Amino acid sequence: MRVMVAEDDAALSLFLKKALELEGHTVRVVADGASAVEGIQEDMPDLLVLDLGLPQMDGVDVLRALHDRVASMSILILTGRSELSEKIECLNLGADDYLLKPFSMYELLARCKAIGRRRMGASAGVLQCAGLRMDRIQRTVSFQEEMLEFTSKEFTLLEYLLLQKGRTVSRRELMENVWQMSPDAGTNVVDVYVNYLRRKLGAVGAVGLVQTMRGEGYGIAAKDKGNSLRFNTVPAAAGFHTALEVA
Amino acid sequence: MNQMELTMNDTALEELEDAIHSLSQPMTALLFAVEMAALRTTPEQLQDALNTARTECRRAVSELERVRDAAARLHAGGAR
Repeated sequence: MRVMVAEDDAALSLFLKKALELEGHTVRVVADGASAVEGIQEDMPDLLVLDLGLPQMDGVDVLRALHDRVASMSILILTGRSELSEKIECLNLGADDYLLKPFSMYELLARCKAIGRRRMGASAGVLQCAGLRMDRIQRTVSFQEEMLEFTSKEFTLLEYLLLQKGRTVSRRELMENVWQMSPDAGTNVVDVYVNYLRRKLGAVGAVGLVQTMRGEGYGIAAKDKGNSLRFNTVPAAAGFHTALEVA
Repeated sequence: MNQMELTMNDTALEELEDAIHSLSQPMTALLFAVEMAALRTTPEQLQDALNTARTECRRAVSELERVRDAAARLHAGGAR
């Protein structure tokens, strides 16, 4: 998931970032409420980990400011206070869950996972194409019942391509959304990883699943009504989050 | 208890709540530091994790002093 951590305690925000990254999430950190609102309006995360005691705008004010957007993302509240009224207010304003400090890293990660599961729903948790089946919750991939092993980055790349099935995805878009790197970084990492994917898929017979569109990028073709594989010419989606939402 | 004493008590209670809240920050960071240290493998990484844990311990001790002060003020009826 793409996660925003809004926490003003520098040491704690660093730990939260590290822990969430260990789980494979992409994390950005902000240290005050105004920056959280601004950042979310520019680019909405899948999950907001929101401390209530933020400077400038506290967590409850952030929830109020985002009232029209809270339904589109998951929100996990962190707080050092245990008032019941505060807890109820946050949940009524759209928060999904609540963690009282101090809490264990493992509890945080488990709650994030549970939130992600609830958000995605069971159907969106599975992506399929031409015999390939990806379970995004269990993080497993199989081709015609044969299990495949992927590294975390390979999995994310394949997931992104499956979410964008039927559309050509440019290298720039993959650099930004899978690697969170500038598209001008001057690296051939996308081509290298597409080759890794093809090699592993090819080894189980899934040859030609990831196609190259010369001068445009890569893609996984979707089946049309006549059951033949095709690519759409739809414009690029706004990002990974949009893809997750429509999945 | 007169109005002035009640106000002093409320203030002392708020200070205690603030101090507890402040203490929860380094306590969480410390817990994370220790849990992450368990995932480290090299002596350098472990040393680094211990240093971080020590820093958070010191921060917690300092915040604990605030809790003690606030509790003492509350006990004394909010008087400074």
